[in-house]
Amino acid sequence: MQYLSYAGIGFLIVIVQVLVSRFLSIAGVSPDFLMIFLVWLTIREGQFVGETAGFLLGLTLDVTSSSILGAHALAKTAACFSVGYFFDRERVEQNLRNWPFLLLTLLGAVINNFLYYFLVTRGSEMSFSEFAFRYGAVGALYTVFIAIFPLLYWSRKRAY
Amino acid sequence: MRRFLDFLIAFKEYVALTIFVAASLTMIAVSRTTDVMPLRAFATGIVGAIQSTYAWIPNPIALRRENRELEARSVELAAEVGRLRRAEAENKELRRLLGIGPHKDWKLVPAEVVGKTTSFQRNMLTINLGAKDSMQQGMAVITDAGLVGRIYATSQNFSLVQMSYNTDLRIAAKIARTRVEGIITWEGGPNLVMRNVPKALDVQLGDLVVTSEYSSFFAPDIPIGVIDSIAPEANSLFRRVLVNPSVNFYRVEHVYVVVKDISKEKERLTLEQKATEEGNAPKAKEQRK
Repeated sequence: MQYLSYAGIGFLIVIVQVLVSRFLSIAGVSPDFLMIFLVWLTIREGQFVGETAGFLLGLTLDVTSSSILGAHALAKTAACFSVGYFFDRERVEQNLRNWPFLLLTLLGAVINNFLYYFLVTRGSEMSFSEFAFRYGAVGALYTVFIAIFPLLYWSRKRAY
Repeated sequence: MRRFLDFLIAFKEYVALTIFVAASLTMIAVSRTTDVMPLRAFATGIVGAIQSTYAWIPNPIALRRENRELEARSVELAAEVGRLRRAEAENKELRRLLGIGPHKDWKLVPAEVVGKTTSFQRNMLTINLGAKDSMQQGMAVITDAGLVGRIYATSQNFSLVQMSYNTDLRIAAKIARTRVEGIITWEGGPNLVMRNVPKALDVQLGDLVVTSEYSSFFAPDIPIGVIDSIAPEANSLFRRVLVNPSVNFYRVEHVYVVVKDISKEKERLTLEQKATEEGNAPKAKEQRK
């Protein structure tokens, strides 16, 4: 039942990502809501659940966003697998409500973006380094900035 | 068997990673094939239906910018209309004298953009017309400013438009002033790139680039953009011509679909292909010998 609710929330976030991100786009760079959710899920449930969710939700994003089929799936699987190394069952709540959540979001977003831009610039004459910096690094920072809001919300929940 | 299962469970993270990476790479490999088109069209239908419900929500910053651009454009167009009226009259007269028939008029069908997908390599628009409205794959999509792209996939009520900012799209183009032909592509930057333009031919900054008669999808003379820079390509007989697109792809909200009879174009392509194959047949025979 818990995993079904994760799947439902994840699917809703994919829809939000596809539909709403253009309103938050600054100079073509949009935050990655799905990555924030996947980092949260990986910190909470561990590497295996994280990478499985990363693959399935990444694939859903590929289908709904007309991206290269499999590109988001691969990038998000790898990102969640890496974030999963920092899973600590004893410190789940502390990690979710403090700065480690932001650091892990940054790690996940950087891996995801660099891998994704490597795949989309592959075989074309686009410069990977330019794309990786302009959209990858800046996009990762924008995602971390957005991740501050859920972090503040969870921290406040603990305080009251 | 038991030991194998224990091994899988013990290393499930790595096993899952291997399976997911293999599956993703396989999908990336088949991503460009037409086999996945029905899936894409189905997803377009669903996403388009959701997007159309909130497409009315305005983006105030974009609206203000668009308003300024439209004001400037209306001034430019007013001057251009006068020039074009004179040119049209002159053109009709010259065509009549030369015995050439008039240009065919393409039917323009207005459509609204209900969604945009900017995935950097494959930028797409979703419009609120689909197979039900006689939309077909390959039809050109334009605005008053010029070429936007072509229809890539259709569902019953929506169509996915491949924008010119898409590395998969190739457009046969020509320079309006000198009729020099080339191929328009996109490499990821703010400008489009016109390829196969020989160094010897007359090309100048500010020249208007339009669609060519040789295009199998686009009607001729649709503006694409103006030449922004010209540089020689290293170790080549061609120039690298950068074209500043006349359409702002990120702010397109209303478009027109050029409805034309694609069957004639298909007939033309089949004839040309047949001629090429016949031309190649003797060479192939010689090679076999």
